[in-house]
Amino acid sequence: MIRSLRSSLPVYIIHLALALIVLLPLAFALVSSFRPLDEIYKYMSPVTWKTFWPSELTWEAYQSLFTERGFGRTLLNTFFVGFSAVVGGLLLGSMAAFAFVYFEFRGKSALFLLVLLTFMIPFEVISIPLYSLVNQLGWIDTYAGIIVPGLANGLVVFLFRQFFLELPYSLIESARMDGASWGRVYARVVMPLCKPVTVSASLLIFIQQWESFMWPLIATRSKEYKVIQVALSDFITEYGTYWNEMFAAAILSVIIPVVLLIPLQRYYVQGIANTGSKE
Amino acid sequence: MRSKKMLGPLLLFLLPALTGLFLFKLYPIGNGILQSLYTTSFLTGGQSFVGFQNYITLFQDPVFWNSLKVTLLFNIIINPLQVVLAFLLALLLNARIKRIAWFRSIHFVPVAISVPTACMLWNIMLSPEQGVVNSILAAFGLPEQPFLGSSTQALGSIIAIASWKGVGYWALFLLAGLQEVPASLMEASSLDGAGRWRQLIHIIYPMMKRPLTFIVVSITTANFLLFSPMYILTKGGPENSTNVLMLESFNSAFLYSDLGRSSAIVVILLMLTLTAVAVQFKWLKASH
Amino acid sequence: MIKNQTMRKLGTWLAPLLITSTVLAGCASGNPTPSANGQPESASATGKQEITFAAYSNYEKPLTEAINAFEEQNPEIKVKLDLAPFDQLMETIEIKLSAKSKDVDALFVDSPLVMNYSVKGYLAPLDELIDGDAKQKWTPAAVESVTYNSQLVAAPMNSSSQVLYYNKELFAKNGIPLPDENTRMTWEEVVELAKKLTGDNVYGFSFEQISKAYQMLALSDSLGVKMISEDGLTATGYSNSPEAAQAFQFYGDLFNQDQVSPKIKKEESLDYFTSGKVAMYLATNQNMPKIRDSGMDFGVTLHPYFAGKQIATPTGAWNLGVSQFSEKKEAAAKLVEFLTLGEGAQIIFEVGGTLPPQVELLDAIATDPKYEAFPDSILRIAAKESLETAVSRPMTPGYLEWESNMNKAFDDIKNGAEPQKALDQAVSIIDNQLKKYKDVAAK
Repeated sequence: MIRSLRSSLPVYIIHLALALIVLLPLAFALVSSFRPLDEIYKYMSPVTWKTFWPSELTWEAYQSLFTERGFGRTLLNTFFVGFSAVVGGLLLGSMAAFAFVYFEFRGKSALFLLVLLTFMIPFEVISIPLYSLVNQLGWIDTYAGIIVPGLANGLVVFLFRQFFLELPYSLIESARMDGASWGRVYARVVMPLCKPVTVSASLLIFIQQWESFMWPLIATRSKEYKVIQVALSDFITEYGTYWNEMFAAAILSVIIPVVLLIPLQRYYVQGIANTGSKE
Repeated sequence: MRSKKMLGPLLLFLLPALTGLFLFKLYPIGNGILQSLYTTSFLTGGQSFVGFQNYITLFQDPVFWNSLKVTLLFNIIINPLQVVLAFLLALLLNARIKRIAWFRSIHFVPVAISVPTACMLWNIMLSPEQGVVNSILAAFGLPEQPFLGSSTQALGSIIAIASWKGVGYWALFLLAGLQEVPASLMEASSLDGAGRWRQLIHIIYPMMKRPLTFIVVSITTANFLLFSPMYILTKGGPENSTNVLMLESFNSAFLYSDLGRSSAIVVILLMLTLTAVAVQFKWLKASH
Repeated sequence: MIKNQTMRKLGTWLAPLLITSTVLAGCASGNPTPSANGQPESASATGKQEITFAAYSNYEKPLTEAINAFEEQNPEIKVKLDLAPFDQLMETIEIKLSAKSKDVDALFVDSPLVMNYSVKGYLAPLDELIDGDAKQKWTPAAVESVTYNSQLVAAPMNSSSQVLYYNKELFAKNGIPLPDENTRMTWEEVVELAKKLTGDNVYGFSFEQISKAYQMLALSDSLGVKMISEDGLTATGYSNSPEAAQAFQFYGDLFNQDQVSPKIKKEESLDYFTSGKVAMYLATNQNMPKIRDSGMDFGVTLHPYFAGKQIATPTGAWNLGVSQFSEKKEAAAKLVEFLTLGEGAQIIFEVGGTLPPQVELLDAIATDPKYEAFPDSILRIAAKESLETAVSRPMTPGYLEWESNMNKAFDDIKNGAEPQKALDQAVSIIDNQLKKYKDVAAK
């Protein structure tokens, strides 16, 4: 016991130092979110303990977020959009990757190259034709308009493909020998072995949705569809910035995904390695 | 396995994603690439075909060459840096110690913060007017630095900010991959006295090749396209030292009313990215 | 791997699929088919016409009130507000209008963008759509900025002007007499004062829009510099003239030689002033409520000028336009007219508190006793300046090209670059970009 503590002590020290670097800028945001607006800059410089400790604690910013700015609705929207994107994106991405790994067909490499191409182009370049297209489909100002264009995601296909390549092929072969259909192989054999990568892919999709900004802004015009990043940008105005509300919203925007991640972590230690199927 | 029955499942698996990709990604991309061969005529309001004129104009433009230089410099530094840091962080986060879940979550925090907010925070941290970082430097008796206000430090500052935000994210993907390295293998080698370094090179690295390929390619494409920190923090300055190609493309489309130029830059950027990715695929495949 | 010859047929299967999807997409990009374009016209269902108004999110409150009044008067029209934050409004409008979307009917137009939108064919001329003698009802500077090819292409909604705010406490602490509200100081005097006020974590002076052309132009305008050629296509010899360099040398000195201004970003400047880190603050009239609410003891005086040179103050405005691609231009114009000439203008002024461009409202400010007392008197100062000393921005279809490159040069000068060199570099880039407008040069 003591020996293991001693050997892991340096690891803890490194972890604590890294955590400090990562969290320091956010400490400032956290403290500022509890300050009245006109106090934020007062203690910013020179840096003293007051920079990181509010002299007067107030919930003003958080209150205003939920009462005046309707942040609750915004959060619900973002979740709805995020979860739809994750469910749809996982399904589409893993299925396509499955086909790329287990089926042979002509033009596979070329097709896969096209898939890679889809995430090498910035959104800004495709925004104008994409807007025209979604407009023609009649999806402007609907949830479909925000969600559907992002469902098929080249990066997710790529991620799953890299992982499927790692799986021992004998598993699939024996399942096929037993007469399992491809759908069964996918749903019952392959996917259950892929929990860590599924968690990674979910995070990837969720974070992409969580961060998406320009597209939801262009694709919708009603307040009902407002998502978190659009709301966040409202705090910087022509005349001054609502720092305290901006930081409060930023803190909320951080806490939520992190809280979601914590329970998902146990799947990280449930890889194939631990099931003993990989030798 | 040798009947037409195969076609059904194949289409079933592939079609949904492909339809989406073609409709919402590849079609607009093709549209964008074609745009680089056109120019807008302000008199008629229409588009006229100009062949490769947009590219020729670009190649004669010193602004383009400067941006190309900045883009290459930025990527040559940031990509290897982020890959190595992400790998090291993943190894650290894989340590079997108590409360490791907490540390993993901490590194996820910068991921969840939006780029504009992250930029605002770091702008305050790095402020030349007694910002937090400068105060720390001063406390150690070091001279204060201009950071984003200096043409020699701005690009480096942006690399630091982008890595602060990105490394934890990429490390999580590697962490998922590390779960697949059997614990018995790692423990056995550390017990029989194999140096940690050799363990890394000979046991972990080969098993991590596919997850590594994924993050190397993702990091590279993400960084070639990265421009919002420059847009928010420096607008490409000071003295154009952070004016990456993507920022120039964005400006061409939305400030300079020049969609043709914007698309031509993106096509060149795409060529660069594809070249880099092809090299990486080769390299990660060849070195066994 | 599963090898299968029949799988080769996949190519033949996939090819038509890919072609279909591309063709589908291709159709969508072409001329809209009536069925696909079936935006449910609410007109058919309820007899109501719905118009979309692309606006800046900060004006949500006054606009909502004004629109409610509008809908009451025009029960057949329903207005949908499409709000975007300040930094992205221009981008969203650009994406929608360059896609020739019918999704935008009325829109916000920043003054310097009037010409650019006009050459790109985004704006419908308003002459036939709104009241004939509208032009007499706005200030001449406002009318000038919304006219293109002697046609009215937008309508001014509000305006702005700058005053010099100062922190009375910091003046008292240094034993400096307060500036007089009605005496215009010269820049030289301002710098002298600023030097005395600088020290101990306090800076003497700051601009609000640091390194932004909107405020920087007041410096070159005071020296009588013309920033761009008559046809709006050449910046070389204008924006980098020796007088321009002199004006911006002054700007750079504030940061580097005299060190009386903090090297911060525009988003931070107001907070530096309200937390007592800046003693004098040159900023828009619109900042008054925030400064007042911060509880500080402050005063104002007039915008400075260079000794012996011209008096020039910045101005800028939000205008409203009607999209050329709209199918409901008349309804949209009705809204624009209501907001810029009718009752809506009154509501925007009262609820939003911004400086109006309507002569009638400006006259009211000059006589209404409500604006006698400080700090509401700031609006009266601003009104007077906007009528007498305001200089509008350079007229060129490439204003954004000019502005974004000049802003970069201003920021480099702030960071210590040599002004002449920074300006020379900017104008060569600008001229290169302005070439594309040579067919539609400013008249």
